[in-house]
Amino acid sequence: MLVFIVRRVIVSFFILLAATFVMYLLTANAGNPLGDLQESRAPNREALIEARIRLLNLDTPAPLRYFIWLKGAAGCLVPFAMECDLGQNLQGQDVTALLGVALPQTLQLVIAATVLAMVLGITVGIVTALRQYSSLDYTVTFSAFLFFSLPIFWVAVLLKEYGAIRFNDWLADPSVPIGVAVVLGVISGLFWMIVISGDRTRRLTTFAAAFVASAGALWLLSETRWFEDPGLGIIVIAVTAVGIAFLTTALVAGFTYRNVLYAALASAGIGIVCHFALASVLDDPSGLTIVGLALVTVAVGLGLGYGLGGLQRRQAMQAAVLTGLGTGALLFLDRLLGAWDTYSDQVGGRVIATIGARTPNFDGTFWEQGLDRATHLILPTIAIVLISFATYTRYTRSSMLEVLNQDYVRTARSKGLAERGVIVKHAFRNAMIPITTLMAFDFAGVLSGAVITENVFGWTGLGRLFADSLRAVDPNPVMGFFLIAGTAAVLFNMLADIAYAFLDPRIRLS
Amino acid sequence: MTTKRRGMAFFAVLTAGALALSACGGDDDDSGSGSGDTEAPSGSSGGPITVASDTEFTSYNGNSETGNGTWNAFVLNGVQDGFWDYGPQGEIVRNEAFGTYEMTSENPLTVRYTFAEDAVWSDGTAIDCDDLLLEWATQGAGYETAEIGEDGNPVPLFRVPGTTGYDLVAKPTCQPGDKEVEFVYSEPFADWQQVTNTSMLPAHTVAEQAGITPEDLVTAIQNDDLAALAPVAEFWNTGWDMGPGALLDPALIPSSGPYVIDSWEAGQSLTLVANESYYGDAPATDTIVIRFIPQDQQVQALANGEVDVIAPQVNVDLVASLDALGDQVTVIKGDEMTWEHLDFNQTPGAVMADPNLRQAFAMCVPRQQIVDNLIKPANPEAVVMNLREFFPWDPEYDQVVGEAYGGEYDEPDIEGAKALIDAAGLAGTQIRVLRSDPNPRRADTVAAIKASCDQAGFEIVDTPTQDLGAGITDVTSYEVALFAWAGSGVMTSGASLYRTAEGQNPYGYSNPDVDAAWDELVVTTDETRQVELLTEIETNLWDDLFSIPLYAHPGVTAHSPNVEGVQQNAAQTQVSFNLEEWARTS
Repeated sequence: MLVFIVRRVIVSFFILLAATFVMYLLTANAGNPLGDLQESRAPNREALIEARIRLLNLDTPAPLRYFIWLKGAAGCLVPFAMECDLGQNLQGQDVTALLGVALPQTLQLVIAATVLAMVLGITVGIVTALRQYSSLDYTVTFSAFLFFSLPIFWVAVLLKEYGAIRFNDWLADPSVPIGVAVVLGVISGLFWMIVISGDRTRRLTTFAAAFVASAGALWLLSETRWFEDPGLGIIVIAVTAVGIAFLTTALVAGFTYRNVLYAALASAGIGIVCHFALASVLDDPSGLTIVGLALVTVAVGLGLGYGLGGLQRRQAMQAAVLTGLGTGALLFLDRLLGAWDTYSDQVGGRVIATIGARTPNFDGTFWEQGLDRATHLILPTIAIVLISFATYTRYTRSSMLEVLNQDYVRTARSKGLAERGVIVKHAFRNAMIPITTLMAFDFAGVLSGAVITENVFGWTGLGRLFADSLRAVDPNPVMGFFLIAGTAAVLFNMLADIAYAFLDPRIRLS
Repeated sequence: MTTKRRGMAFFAVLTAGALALSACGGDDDDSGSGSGDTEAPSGSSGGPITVASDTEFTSYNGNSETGNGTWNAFVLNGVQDGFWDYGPQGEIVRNEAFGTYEMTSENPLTVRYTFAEDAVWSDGTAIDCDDLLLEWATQGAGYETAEIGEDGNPVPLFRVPGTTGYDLVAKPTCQPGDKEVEFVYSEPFADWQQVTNTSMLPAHTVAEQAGITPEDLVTAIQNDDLAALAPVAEFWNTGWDMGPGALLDPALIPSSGPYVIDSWEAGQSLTLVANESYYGDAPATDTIVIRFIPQDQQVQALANGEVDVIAPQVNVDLVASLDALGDQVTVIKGDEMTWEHLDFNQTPGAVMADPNLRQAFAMCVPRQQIVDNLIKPANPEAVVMNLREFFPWDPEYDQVVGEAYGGEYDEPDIEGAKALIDAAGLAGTQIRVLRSDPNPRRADTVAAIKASCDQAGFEIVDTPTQDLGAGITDVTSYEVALFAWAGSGVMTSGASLYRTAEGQNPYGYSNPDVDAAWDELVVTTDETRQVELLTEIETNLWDDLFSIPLYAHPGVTAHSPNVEGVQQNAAQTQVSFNLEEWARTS
């Protein structure tokens, strides 16, 4: 194994070296670095051109210039012994400083979206595999391909127009006309009808129930002016928390033994009590408090599972922790929405933002700040999730289907194992092996930023740095970007290979 | 499978129920969040105004090689003042609050600069001769280091983007703290008003950073003491450059303008607040926030109220999307000081070396149609430009056009062009029109020319290039070049375009009269004579058909109707040039 890893590291290093050389030549020849000055009529035109030639060493041929860059970049390999010098951009700023600003922005923007896309995509992928050739399967396949083929710049602009500008206009006087409520009710009814399926009567009842519930809820929310000051309220929190308890139990243990369910329900109950007990703590907490509370939740969940779990102790602990965290997330969301009306006043009613990562000079409570981040993140996150959703559903679905047809799954079934156990324990785990590769690629992609999304939503992340510098034919920032993106790609590929070898013994043997 | 279905049904009802129940949840959560309320930001003058800039700030020193750029000028417009600045149409506007200047003698050209008595930096230090002397030292002194650059010349001590004009000024004599100083020129200089920078830098800060007193700095310059000036230059060259968001200590970046830089969030925004020790009229708004937003995203940000003022580069889609916003925004359409023109390659042996063919080409170019179809949608007031050295909104324009240009190329004359081409026996000649690519407007322009000139007997060939600079230098690659010059507002900058064998005249154009007129113009300070000489130059350029001017680029500025005082700025000084006049009306 060690030999395998060492070999991969060495090979990766040379791949990266060759790639930087090619990239440097491509960037250097990407355009005319003096173009803007040559059309200028400023009296100091010649001096400006002269200065830029000196700054970029333009009188040295590009292949040689690469080695000047490489000399500085080599310092980055030895973190403390040598100085890491990635050069400067056209404005004389250090590329390392630029990357230091761009990287956190990109991580903020893309990590949440990527994780969300993975969770959603894998969940839906599994469900569609279990319901192969159902109307749900067809609907998901259709929408996955639809989203996948949408150009992101177009989606982003539409999101800004309808998700932000029009939505904010609507928030000025938020009422849902009865017609709209009916149409949305019909859509909701159709959705649930497709998801639940079954015979005709069953479909019709589902449709009717979902229609009445959704349209009615919308109408009620509109009538009570809920949209002006949204929130969940204790009843919704309680009901949803209990729902989460049942869901996690169903996933980790099933309902054969009640111990697990009791632990999960107890966990949910404590969460609901905390809604009142922690009211003063949660009025304006710090980020650290929230992390602390999350850790306490995990500890309490483990304790509950341990105490109530009996023979199913391990599953009970899992279920209790997950339920606790889920309930905590609900409380968090409730508080966040609680800041809605004061936040809305502070930003002049334009709640959803189209641009940037924060409202400039915004100052408020923890919840208002959090809401400010959230309203800036929501649209780009939707855009990214829509596009990468497709890959995950399709891969997971096909991988899951393949595993479900394996002999060992049939054996498991024929032994009389419960369907839940077959799917969660035997099929799902093995289906995840190829997906790890995909995840590794995706995380590598995360670090190279989302060029278009960043541009459209005005985030100054790595992708934007790359695009802007390339346009200005400014090689140093481009190379800085490439160093991060390229290293990430090579590194994660290597990690995927290694993970694969761990997960699947057959790889190691060959 | 039935249990599964039942499970799903259960969750379906659960979600729908949750949604319904949440209706009751809307009004019970206001007690908790109310405790930490912050007041909505509201200054004495109606809250901050937000303006979009597409490139991030990088340096407090806009006069250095690296800091010289529109992105810094955008911010520094409000932070550093000088004796003068460009107005919205490229005209010179004196800044009397800062100081005054007058020409006291024509020979030798002598200009006396007087700083206002009450003019101070925001840290309380007087703005005086020290600051101007430092500016002269950086641009006019010609100090060099012992180091030899790669080009074989010594590396200048102060790395400045240009020294035009300043290199004619003898070392000014003044004592530390003097409020009056004289510039004496070695020869007359036409653009003498534009020699000093529009943003003067604080000498006392530079001195302090170099570890000397401001008095020592003055002495060092008076004695040309290069050893003492080395640390000064080191700080001046790069000490004011900043990484994103890494705003320097406020003591290092004092303000002489209506605003001081307050904070800077990397990649997001930069905030200016009113300078409390400003000696001029207090700005109309206390806080200006500059948000960094890519140009093509600015319209939606304006529509969503995230910025109040935008001035993106014009294209037809942009104007259409602004118009579609109706009365949600106020749109100001106008011009830019960038003008499009067709240049002839007249090098010996080139097709267009024949004046008759140049005339035929000029006759068939549909200039009015190009302006009507391509420019008027963005700027309804647009006109065909008939001069090269004046813009249509300049006060002298009409008079000079009357004398220099007879109006013979206003409308295409296909028959006349055909006759000329046939007389030369060159019907069917290929005319390659070089243009930058990608550039849809120039593609459309060439298409319009082709539609018209092909009828006269030319064969117009659209020749797009990605590298226009290299393309123009290679005179074998085109007959006509279509591109734009960005006007600088500096009169003498045209000299290098039209004089024989100048750097920006690769076309082989040579006319002794034009050369002589330029030579005189460069050293002429009398404004009437300047216009006379330019009229003579324009007349010759039209007679020789050096080039065909087409139009000034359209410009657009849009702002929220709640903000007033915003103007369309044709000069290269950015929309922020008058930000101290912006005010919120509601």
